[in-house]
Amino acid sequence: MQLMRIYLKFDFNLICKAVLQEQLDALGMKYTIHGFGEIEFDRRPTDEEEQEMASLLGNYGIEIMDDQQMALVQRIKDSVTEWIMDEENPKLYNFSTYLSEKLDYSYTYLSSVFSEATYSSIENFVILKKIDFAKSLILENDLTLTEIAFKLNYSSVSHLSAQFKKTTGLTPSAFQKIILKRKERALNRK
Amino acid sequence: MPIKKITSSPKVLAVSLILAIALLMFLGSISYKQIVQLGESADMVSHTLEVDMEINQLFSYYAKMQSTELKNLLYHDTLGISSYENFKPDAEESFLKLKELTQDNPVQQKILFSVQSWQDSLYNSLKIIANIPFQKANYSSGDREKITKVTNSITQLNLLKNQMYQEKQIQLEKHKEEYRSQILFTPLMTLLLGMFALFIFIISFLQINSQRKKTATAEKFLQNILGSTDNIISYFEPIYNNMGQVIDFTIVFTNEQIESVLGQTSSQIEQRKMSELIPSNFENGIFDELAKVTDEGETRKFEKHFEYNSNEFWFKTTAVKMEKGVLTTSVDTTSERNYTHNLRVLNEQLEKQNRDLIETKSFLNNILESTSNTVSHLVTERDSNGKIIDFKYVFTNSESENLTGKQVGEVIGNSISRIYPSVHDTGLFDLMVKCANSGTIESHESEYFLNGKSLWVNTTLNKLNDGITLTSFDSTQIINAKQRLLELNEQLMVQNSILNDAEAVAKIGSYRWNIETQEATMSDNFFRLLDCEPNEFKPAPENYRPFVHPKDLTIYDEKLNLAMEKKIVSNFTYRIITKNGKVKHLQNTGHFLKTEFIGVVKDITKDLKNEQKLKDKNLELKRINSELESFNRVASHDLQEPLRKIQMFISRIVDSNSSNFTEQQTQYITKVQSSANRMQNLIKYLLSYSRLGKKKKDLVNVDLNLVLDKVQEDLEAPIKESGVEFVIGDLPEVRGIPFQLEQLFNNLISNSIKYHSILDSPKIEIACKKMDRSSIPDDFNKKAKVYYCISVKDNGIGFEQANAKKIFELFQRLHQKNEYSGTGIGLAICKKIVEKHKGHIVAQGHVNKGATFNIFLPV
Amino acid sequence: MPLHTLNIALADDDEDDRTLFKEAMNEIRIKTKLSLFNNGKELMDYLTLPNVILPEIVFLDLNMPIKNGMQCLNEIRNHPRLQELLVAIYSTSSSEADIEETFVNGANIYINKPNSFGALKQAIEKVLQINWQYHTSALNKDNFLLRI
Repeated sequence: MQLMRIYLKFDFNLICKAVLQEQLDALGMKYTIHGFGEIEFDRRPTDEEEQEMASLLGNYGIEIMDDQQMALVQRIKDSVTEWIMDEENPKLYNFSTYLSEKLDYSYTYLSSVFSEATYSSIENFVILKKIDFAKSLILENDLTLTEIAFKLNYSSVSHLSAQFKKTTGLTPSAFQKIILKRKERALNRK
Repeated sequence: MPIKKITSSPKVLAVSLILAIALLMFLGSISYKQIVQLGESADMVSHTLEVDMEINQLFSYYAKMQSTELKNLLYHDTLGISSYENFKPDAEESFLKLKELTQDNPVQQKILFSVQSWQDSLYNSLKIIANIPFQKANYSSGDREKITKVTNSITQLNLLKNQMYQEKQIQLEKHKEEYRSQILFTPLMTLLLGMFALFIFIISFLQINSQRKKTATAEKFLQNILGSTDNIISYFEPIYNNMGQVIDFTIVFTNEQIESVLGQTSSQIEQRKMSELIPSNFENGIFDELAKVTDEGETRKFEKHFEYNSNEFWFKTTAVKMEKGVLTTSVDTTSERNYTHNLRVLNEQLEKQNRDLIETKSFLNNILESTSNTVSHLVTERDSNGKIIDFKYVFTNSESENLTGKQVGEVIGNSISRIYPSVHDTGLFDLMVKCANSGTIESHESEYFLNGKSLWVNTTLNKLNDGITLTSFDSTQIINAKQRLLELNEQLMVQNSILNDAEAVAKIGSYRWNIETQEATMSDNFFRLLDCEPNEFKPAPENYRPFVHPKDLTIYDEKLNLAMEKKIVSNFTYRIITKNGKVKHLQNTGHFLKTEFIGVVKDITKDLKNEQKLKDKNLELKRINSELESFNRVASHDLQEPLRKIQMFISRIVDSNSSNFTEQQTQYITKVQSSANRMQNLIKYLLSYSRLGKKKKDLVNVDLNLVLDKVQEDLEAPIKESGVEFVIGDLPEVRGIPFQLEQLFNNLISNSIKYHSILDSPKIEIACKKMDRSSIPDDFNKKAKVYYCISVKDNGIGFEQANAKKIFELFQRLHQKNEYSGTGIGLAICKKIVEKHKGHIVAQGHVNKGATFNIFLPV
Repeated sequence: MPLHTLNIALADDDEDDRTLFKEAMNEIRIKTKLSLFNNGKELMDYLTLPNVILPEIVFLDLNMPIKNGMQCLNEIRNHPRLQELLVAIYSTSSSEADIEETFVNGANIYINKPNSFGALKQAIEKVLQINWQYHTSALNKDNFLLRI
């Protein structure tokens, strides 16, 4: 049998939103999607409705968080993603200011909620997210490491490299080399 | 002749032809006229006849009238039915007709007028008669007279009738005469004229024919001339364009001579266009000339260069306008031109030769003057018997002054015996006499004391007329050189014997073998290599062959054949068995020199044995190496495993139970822990040290600035802990293996941090400068011209300068184990890495002041 | 809401290592259910059982008898049902070549067996934490490489 692999680039947000809308429409309730990971209904759903919703979304691995805190965590994560993806924000705002203004909670509160729920800090998550973004930029191969460092608001390439190494245990070039070799091998297998 | 000339002239011919035609036309018109006249004559005759008939008619009527009236008188016809009146209208009509017929004849008209009057009288008479009454037989005289009157009128009328007949006859006769004369004249004239015209025609034809024949002859003659001439004669007809300009020519005619130029016969060329046959004519100006002739009608002469099928010609052409076209006559002037050219060249050569000759003359003079030889000419002086008694100088060049020290003026005119008396002793004089007598070329060499020193002079004697030319030169140097050569020869012999000894020492034998004469020589040592005395046997291939090892005979013969046949001498090794039965390996090398095969054999028996030993050792080394490699694997995995577990479990014990331990127990545990950590470090370093020896990796460009960034990053914790300050200059890019260079600086910086001073605030300075290899005092294999000197300087505890080399050795530690945690491998690794990068590392130290490590890496 | 229990599998021929790993697992904050296997073959036999609940993370020692870690890794990556599994290599070898090779072959995590229990706990915790983030925070799993 011939193995066939294709490589995709996709926007999780878009996919999630599409899935959510489809399923919520099926439910027949009025709703508004606030940002990402938070849905507002015009009335409180009944227990049956809540169960139906849980099972519908469950098919896509989407869980309803019965806790307000978890919802907040999710909103923190969304904000982090947004903040990193946007090139301008990091230069204009301090991250903690940005987050507390956006979510209307004090940063201290937000970080304590986050740590409690995820066993890791917001800062850690920011780093993780930034490195994840850096990884995809490295693999796209359009930008030099210097440009990536600038884009992700690192003070220098070495700073980016250091954080990359710290987070993944690998240098950016080693990482790139491994992924390239993987793709090469996949091609050879075909 | 003049007549012939006239008759043959075309003008006369034309005139006579025109004359003939005019005659013929005249003849035609005459004949026509005659025929018309003939017709007229015939008409005249018939007219006469008609007149004749009419005359008869008229007079018959008159007779009838008379008779009728008379009858009436006789027979008395009272009825009066038959009266002359009955005939009167007929007679009247006939008279009118006759009058009409004869109206162009005045004689007849006159007669007719008389007839009319007589007619009237007749009528009157008759009327009277008619009125006479009938009487039987007797008529009165009046009556008788009356009747007589009628008869009278009739008689008169008959007379007139006769007159008319006569007149008519005269007319007829006249016409006849006329007609006859005409009939006679016409054919004669016609015949005569026809004959004349024919004559003229015949003459003309003959003339034209002869003219034609002449033209043909002339044409043939012309053809012959055209054919036999060297000139090219052509006739061109122009081709015009719409504007009336000449754009091309048709070659209408050309003589056979054209073939020699264009290679095509005239028939092939005729009627072709110039543009397609000789397009070059449009470039060399010939076309323009012809066009001009066509336009202006003036004869032109020109000489043009003409090229066809890569043949080149010069033609002198005369172009004449003839009728519509142009007639050209071209003379090939190529050879003329060439001849002129050659003449000019020849002339130049002659001039040059002349110049050369003059030069040669002066050159010769110069030679004589400048030659280092002394050239002199002497003439014989003979006694009365003709015997040569002396020679007299007539010429000597200035060089002789240099050789002999005697002035030219002083010598010339004097005899040789007076100037150089010694010639009699040296034998030169005798030779001169011999030369002068026999004419042989002689040569002589002897020592003279000239110019204050002893010289060897070589003289060549040459007879010239009754004299001798002496050419002498200073041969002192040559003589000396000969001497030197002899000495060198001796030296060579000495060297040869040295070579012999060298052969013995180097276990080499040499040989020469002339493959043409089959003569061979073998060096003494070659014999000794065979355990023989020198020249124990005659050196020859067949005598040498028995020494060759039987097993190597095949290859020996093969190589020998190759050398003989193809003169290829390859290096090869074979075995021999010496006279003493020892087996020796000989290596043969050699080459061909002209016909000689010159070679060297070397006893390599020992070398081979050594080589074998070396191979064995190498194999052993490889085996050991692979063992070492597997040892490394064992060290990296199998040794580390239990060690890691020891560490693991101790950490477990410490984590879980540390509060329950006694102080001593805690101390022991800590010692176990540090021992285990030390051992782990040792293993790690040993591994990395041994990995450095592995196969080469490709060098890449490495930016040392980045390397140091990374090292600082890796050593973040100890750097922070020790609070060391870095001063790093601008570092270059070098060729190297990135991770090894990282390890190098990591080790050096770790070292500096480890041995930092407790008194001063620790500081590490890293700088770089370029150095020429000559300016580097340290002794190492400097292959590159320029090196980077990268210095890592600290202000730590330092070391004794005496130990500067020792610290790079494996497991050399300068400190007590408990003092500082070191493995004794770190700097050894540094040294190995630098050496792998074709560089060098040195250390300088002052106790308690610091250490500096200088790394030299090639630029 | 507390994290739901994670299913973890470890294949290691060394009994001590298995024990230590289990102890470390028990001491971390995140709740896990650990399945232990003595070699690669046992692990693969289990994973390929029908209807088995697949673990979140598989830890593989490289040097094992019968079936070594690399073989397991290749089998997992070429098995349609298993290829998405998160694989962590857990080995003594610190050779760069070994590490690169496992990553190229599809490993997500490479852990040098630490020489202290504390380090082991830290490593495991870090792995689980990052794994959890990858599960919940829309990170690109294809680029998940971690070396400890």
